[in-house]
Amino acid sequence: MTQNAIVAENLVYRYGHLTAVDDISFAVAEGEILGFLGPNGAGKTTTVRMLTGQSRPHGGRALLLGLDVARETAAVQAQIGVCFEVANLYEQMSAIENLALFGKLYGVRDLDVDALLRRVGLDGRGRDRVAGYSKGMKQRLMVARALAHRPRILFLDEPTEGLDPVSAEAIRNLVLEERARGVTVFLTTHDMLEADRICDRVAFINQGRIAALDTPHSLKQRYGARVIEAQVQGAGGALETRQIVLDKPETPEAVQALFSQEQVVTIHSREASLEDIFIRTTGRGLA
Amino acid sequence: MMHWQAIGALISKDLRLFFRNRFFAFITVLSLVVFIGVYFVMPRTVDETISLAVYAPGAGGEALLRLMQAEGAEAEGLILLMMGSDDALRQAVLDEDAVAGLALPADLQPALLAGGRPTVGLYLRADAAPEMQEMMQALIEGLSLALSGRALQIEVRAETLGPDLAGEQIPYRDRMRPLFAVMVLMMEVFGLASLLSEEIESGAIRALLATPLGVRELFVAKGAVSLLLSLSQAVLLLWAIGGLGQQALILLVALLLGAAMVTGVGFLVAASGRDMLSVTGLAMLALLLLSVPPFGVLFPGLVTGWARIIPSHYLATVVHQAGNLGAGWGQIWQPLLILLAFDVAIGWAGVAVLKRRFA
Repeated sequence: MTQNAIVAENLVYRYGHLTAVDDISFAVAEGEILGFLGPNGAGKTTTVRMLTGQSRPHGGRALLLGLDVARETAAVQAQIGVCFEVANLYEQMSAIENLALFGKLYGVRDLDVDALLRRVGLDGRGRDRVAGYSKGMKQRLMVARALAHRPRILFLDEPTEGLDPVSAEAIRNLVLEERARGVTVFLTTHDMLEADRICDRVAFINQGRIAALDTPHSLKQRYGARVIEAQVQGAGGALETRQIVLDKPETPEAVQALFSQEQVVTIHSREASLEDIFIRTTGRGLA
Repeated sequence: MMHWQAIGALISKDLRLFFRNRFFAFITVLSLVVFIGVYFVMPRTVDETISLAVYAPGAGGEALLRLMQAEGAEAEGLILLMMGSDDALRQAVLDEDAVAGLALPADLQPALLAGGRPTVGLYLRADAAPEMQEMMQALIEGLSLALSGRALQIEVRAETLGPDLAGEQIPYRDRMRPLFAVMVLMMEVFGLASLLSEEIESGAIRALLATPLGVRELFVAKGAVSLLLSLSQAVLLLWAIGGLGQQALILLVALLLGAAMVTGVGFLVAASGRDMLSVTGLAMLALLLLSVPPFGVLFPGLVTGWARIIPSHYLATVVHQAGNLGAGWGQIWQPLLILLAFDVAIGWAGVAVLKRRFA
């Protein structure tokens, strides 16, 4: 039976009078990738901080691998890896020194730094100071640091933000490899396409509350509508777009009318994107 | 339970970062070289001008003045400071405004003329040369002769003020030892505060605190690095300039407490500064403030009582009294205790404000 690796029960966090996280509850199964999506200031980072023991909740509790995060913080932190959005490496030290430091902090005795660097594509650069790395290299090193102690849960905060496509793809592949190893991944991202591609489930968070949580497919089925989009020749010669919603009783007649009454230039079907659903469920975009 | 392996890893990391920062490495070496250099270029002898404080409510004072003029004492370097009370006289000696104090009774002349044997109080500073008492004795005999026509008519009651230490005059360069000690210790405020501030700004602290490492271990590691760097430099400096020649254990304890003070100040500066520039500015301010009391040792009378609210006053006092005057535990336990109390207060405040910045 699959157990829950992460359980959030009625979590609340306030900054003065502002409630950043407002009574949210969810669970993430072992080996699952959960995408945590929301605009800036929605409460994503605060939630991650509570889940990783960096902040103590003002209400509710978080359980990781069955341990209460607020009470058994060190035991929880020994089993999680955290990759932050902003590169917070020791830049005057080399990649090897950075990884060795965190290996010691986690009490890892058999850390194979070279193998770790190979996994993230930094082999041959391990002795260079991090200050000379590109943004993509730093991000890959951050992921390597989070993996150094072979955690059972991985928290990734915008791991591919601002990266070139090659670096971003390398990190996505690492995430999928870790999932295949049985690691649970809590992924915070703005990138809806990324979430759609690699997440088993996604949660939309807005103003401190979870607006929707399900698999991308189910969300699309529940909130999205399949449509046909056609470009037709308008009266003045300009192209105009026509949209017909599928799965409705009047759909066949509408399609017939389109072809009989309009001069169709292009036609294709389109599924609702996670972004469409996010806007629909929260009433706002991700920016 | 303390996570000692993690603490060791953090200490090793901070030392590595400290010595990779060329600025810190440069000012650390430079300050040591400059302080040692300044010590050795300063004269090893002292100005022999002697200030004598006198409290003479009766005719004795005028007689003493006449006697000194007759003897041409001022040309010989003897300067008289007339005091208004016995308390002011004692304080002038304690404050090192005068090397000795003479308290003449109000009825000195009538008593002498009546054939009596009046008593004159002689207050000597702890670090006065042994010859000073003999010189004062001769001066008083001369006074007796001038007033009554007979010598040895006056009883002298000698009293040593401050720590009862027979010693020699202390050259200025030795007096500068407390100043050097405070300044070399304070140099580490720059290093500690900058390391911490950089870690906070870059978010590296957040990465550390997401590991099983607790805040307590983090502070222990930071404190250990600061103590190690500042204490080792201060000990090296004092050893190089011969400051550990006497009461070495007391001096080591004082320097350890001074290093702890510097660690607390470093935490406060790191928590208050927002970037490298503001951290450097605040550290400089702290350095200037903490350097004031040692100037009081260097130039007695320059710094008034308010310096006692600055913790380095107690460090400077102990380094001077133990290192230069040979004072023992019995004489310096009080300033050491006050310094320890300051350490606890500053350390607590530093940890409290820094924890808020980690949050």
